[in-house]
Amino acid sequence: MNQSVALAVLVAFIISFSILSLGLFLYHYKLEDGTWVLSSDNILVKQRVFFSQKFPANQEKIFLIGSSQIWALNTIYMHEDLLKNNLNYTVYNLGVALDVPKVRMKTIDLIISAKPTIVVYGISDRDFATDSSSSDESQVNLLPSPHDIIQNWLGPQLANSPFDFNFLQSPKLNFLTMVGGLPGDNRFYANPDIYATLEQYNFPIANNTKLQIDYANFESILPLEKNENLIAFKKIISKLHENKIPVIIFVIPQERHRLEHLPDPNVFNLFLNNISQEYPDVPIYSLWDRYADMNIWEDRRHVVMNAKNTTRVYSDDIAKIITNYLSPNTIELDQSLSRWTFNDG
Amino acid sequence: MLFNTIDFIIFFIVILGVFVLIKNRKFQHVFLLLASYFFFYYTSNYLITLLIFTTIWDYYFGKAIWNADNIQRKKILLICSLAGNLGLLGFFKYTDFAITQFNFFGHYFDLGHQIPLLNLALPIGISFYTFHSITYTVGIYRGQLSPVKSFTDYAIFVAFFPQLVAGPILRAKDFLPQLREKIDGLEVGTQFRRIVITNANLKIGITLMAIGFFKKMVIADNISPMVGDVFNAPIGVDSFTIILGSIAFGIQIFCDFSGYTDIALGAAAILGFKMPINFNKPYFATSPSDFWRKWHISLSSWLRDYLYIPLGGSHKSKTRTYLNLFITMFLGGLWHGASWNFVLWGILHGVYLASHKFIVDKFPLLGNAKFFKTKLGWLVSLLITQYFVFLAWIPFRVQNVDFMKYSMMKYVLVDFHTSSTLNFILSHRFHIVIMVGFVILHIISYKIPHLRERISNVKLRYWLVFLVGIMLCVFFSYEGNPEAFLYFKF
Repeated sequence: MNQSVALAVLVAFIISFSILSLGLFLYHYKLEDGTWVLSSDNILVKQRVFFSQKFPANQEKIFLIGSSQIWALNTIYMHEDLLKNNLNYTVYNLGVALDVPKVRMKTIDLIISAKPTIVVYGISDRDFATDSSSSDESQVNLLPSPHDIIQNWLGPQLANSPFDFNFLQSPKLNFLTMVGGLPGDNRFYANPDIYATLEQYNFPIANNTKLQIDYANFESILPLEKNENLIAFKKIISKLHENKIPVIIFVIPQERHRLEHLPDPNVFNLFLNNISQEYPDVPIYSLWDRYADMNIWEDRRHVVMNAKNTTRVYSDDIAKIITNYLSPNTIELDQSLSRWTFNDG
Repeated sequence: MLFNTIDFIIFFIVILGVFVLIKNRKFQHVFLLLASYFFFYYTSNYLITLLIFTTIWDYYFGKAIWNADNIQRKKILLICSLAGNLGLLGFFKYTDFAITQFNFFGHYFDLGHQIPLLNLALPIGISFYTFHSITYTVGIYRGQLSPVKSFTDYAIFVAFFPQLVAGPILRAKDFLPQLREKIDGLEVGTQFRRIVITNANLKIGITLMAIGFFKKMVIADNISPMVGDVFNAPIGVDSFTIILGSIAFGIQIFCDFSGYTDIALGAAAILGFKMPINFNKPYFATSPSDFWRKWHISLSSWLRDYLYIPLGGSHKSKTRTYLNLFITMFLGGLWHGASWNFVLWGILHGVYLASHKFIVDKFPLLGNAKFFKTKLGWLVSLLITQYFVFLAWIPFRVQNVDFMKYSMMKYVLVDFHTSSTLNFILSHRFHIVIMVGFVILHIISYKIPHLRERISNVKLRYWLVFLVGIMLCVFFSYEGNPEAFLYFKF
């Protein structure tokens, strides 16, 4: 064989990879005063910046973590609510769009390094839904896995590399964002409260017609023993425990149309039972159908943000749960907010 | 190992590098076998033991069948061999399904006892390598081939990595001779052919692989979210949206599976091996039987040769022929997965084939009518065929019985509501553009025969432009977390 074809493939690769890298670099960075600065929603980088900041000394911090479904939790209201009971805590809403435990696992060390007083974790059935790649990953390996060995070796090498490759992580997401190809609205991938300007994400309450035709995914949920997100979730809880950071879990509220179309709500209950059995000292509170019929929904999954008199109930309830946890004698939770127990399932 | 990962690209480059550097034929074969096992072990871990078991089992049974001195003994040995293969497949793939059905009926008849599920891991590719292996022992039994002397050669046939997990289903009589092909050389005389990476093979192979990656990562993976939006919760969705979802899934599964096949054929071609094609523009089929001559060809021909014909094929009564078609497709559906939705898919295709055969038998003039020879007649045949093909994709995609019933009802009994369909289309513009792009490319590939060969034969500089275009599309479709091929779960 002469090398002309192989050389052509190599040249094609270099050209296309250069175009890709340059395109993504220009998408993520902009030139300001002679230096390249991050200009887009590269969430992992932004999280690193956030967690590595110097928090005020002796500040008591509450971290709210979860997906975009917790963005409606207003940290200012919650801070006010806590203060009424003499609990001076600063609340940070660290919700990240499309977050699932497997993804959150990547930043758990950063979260721990910021030394929060409490972590409040919002979960729903979506957190344990199948991701498309999991079919071959769900299997238990009895023999050493070459993939894991390579990952374990390569991961730290890349993490310690002086170059930041994050901008190359998901070209598809960036491309779809650029061309407006994301289903529904192609909005934020970072919690506006922390990582962006709040005003630009102030969406209105949806009317019934919109909620009826809203297309929300219902991915199937892999069984408990094969569910990688459940395994990651438990690792997160265990890591927080090891570092003596208390955790409160709450079940994210769902809209009525979504609840009616859920293939099998009981599957999610099995997960809650499993978690409550394994971590009996971690309280779980359910807001599952608490606001299902309220006129507070931006779509089938998200409570609207920043609509003062309507959605405050969500922030108030979470503040009550935290207050009850920190100072059980100051506030009594109503019956519908009581802790999830195994038999509830 | 998934084809659409960096892991596979590195793996494949290493393999090519070794074959370029080391020319010893025996070493090449051992290396190819070990590489294939590594490929399988990478994702299947300990389940590789099943692959090795199947290989050893059929290698020795093949010899025993060949050496048996009477037909009765040959038959018994063949039955033992098939029992081992199908027993393994049945145990790992269908045990939990069978237990679930047993428990269902137990509950129905109030037997009061439930058998716990075994929760067995489904070994990737077991349906494919079991069928490969069967072609070997059955081939020897039928006298179509003699047993291979080299265990390594036989093990390569079963485990050859490009086709290992999702086909095309190889026939022993087609593949094994390629490992022992003889060539004549002026200087060295007659010798067995080594694995040599030639420019021509490299170019056609890379062209095929590039098209495969494009189909999988650019078309199938990008349409997949829209299909999910329709079928993950279809209750309340209008007919036109269901029809759109069904078309989208038809495109997704075609690009996913034929994309995999193209990558497999390309990888094999680079190494100098020929594998059978699996798809031949199935969405241009004009009858159910035509569809099965164009869709998953290696499976449909396997089912024909190893199931339909042994059942009697079309050589018995007409009623028996219809029944044979139905049984073949029913089992073909079950082969895809241990679930009633796949069975229903198979049954539908069985009914299509039997009905078509019945109509052709009953009204022979209809088949020869002038109208069907015209362009309009061709178009009508195509639309009717594809209407039923896309209807059958619904049970293939939707497992939930209520969702499936609703979707099929809406597909058949069109409600003519358009408002929410328009909203759906507007919120899925990108996916619609991809679908339109597929239709255009599909028509082009239909109009221009041997398009892949033509692409691989263009001048190097134009070919480089083609590669850059494909690579850019693929790179911008890379998600960081690759989607598995749909047929991996079969």
